[in-house]
Amino acid sequence: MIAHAAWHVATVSATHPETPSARRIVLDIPDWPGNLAGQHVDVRLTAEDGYQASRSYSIASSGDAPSIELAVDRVASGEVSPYLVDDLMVGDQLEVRGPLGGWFVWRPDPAHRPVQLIAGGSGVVPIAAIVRAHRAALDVTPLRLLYAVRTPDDVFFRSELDREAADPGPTAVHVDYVFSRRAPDGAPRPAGRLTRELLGELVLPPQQNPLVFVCGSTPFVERVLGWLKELGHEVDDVRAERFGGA
Amino acid sequence: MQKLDGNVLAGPLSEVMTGDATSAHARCVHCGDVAVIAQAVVYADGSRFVARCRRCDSVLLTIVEAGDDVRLTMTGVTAFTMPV
Repeated sequence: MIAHAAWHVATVSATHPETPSARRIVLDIPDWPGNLAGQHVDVRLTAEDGYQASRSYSIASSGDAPSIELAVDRVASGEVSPYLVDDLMVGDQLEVRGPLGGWFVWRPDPAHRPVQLIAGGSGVVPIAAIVRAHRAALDVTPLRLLYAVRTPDDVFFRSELDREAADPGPTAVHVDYVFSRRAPDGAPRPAGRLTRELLGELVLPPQQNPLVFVCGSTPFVERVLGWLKELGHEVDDVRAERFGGA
Repeated sequence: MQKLDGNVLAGPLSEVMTGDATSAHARCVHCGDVAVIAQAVVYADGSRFVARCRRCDSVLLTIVEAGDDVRLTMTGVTAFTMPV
């Protein structure tokens, strides 16, 4: 069951730098009905002259708590993200509509159907919500994450992903990074863009019948969807979420 | 104008339908493709959205949020089926 979406007043309770260009933002929402992993909110800003701008942001958290966590990357030409990353302060209020979406969501799965997560850049935010929900539920569904990101400095949720990678237990998520511009020392491969060959190596094969989630910029998602199809994945086994510059 | 997908319609559609309309299946009246709304190709311009068929690119629906109004036009879909 998905909670009914509505507009809520949210109060910023904490902010932390996430990367040099992104910020994590915790919003307290007293009447929040809870949300599923992968859902998003629409954030609406109203200027003093009444001009309004609204954009969608994925939620990095899930569950029943009356608060949500966002991680927002600054898009220099964007109308909303520079304000959220650079200007928003603890105690400020925002209007948010949600919880939203029912397609790009994951629930702990009694059938344990394997899941392949593919994130490009800040598209990792709803994917992180899935990784966290999987851990919180101690779910043994096999999860594998392919995270394409420019440099090690641009990785979101670093400590949580490191914990998954270091955990030998059955509930840990297997994490593969593809660094496009600079790879860390000791990385299994040099920096370079994601290719179809690499995708084929690093994602669960169609024979394992995985449910695949892909989130990133529109060009990233469309490249990956084309390759997945060529690798033999069924279109309807792949759930995609695209974002633009907001 | 940004090219996105049907997930972005969840907010605007929540103003006119109860439940998550992006999980609804619908059939394109032009080519007959059946997909969930979240799989549609969506062009967004601020609070104006045009959803097109993922297969044949025909317009499925448009939705505009303007002030206190939401205007939904659904000329390109049939057999709209919501989970209840």
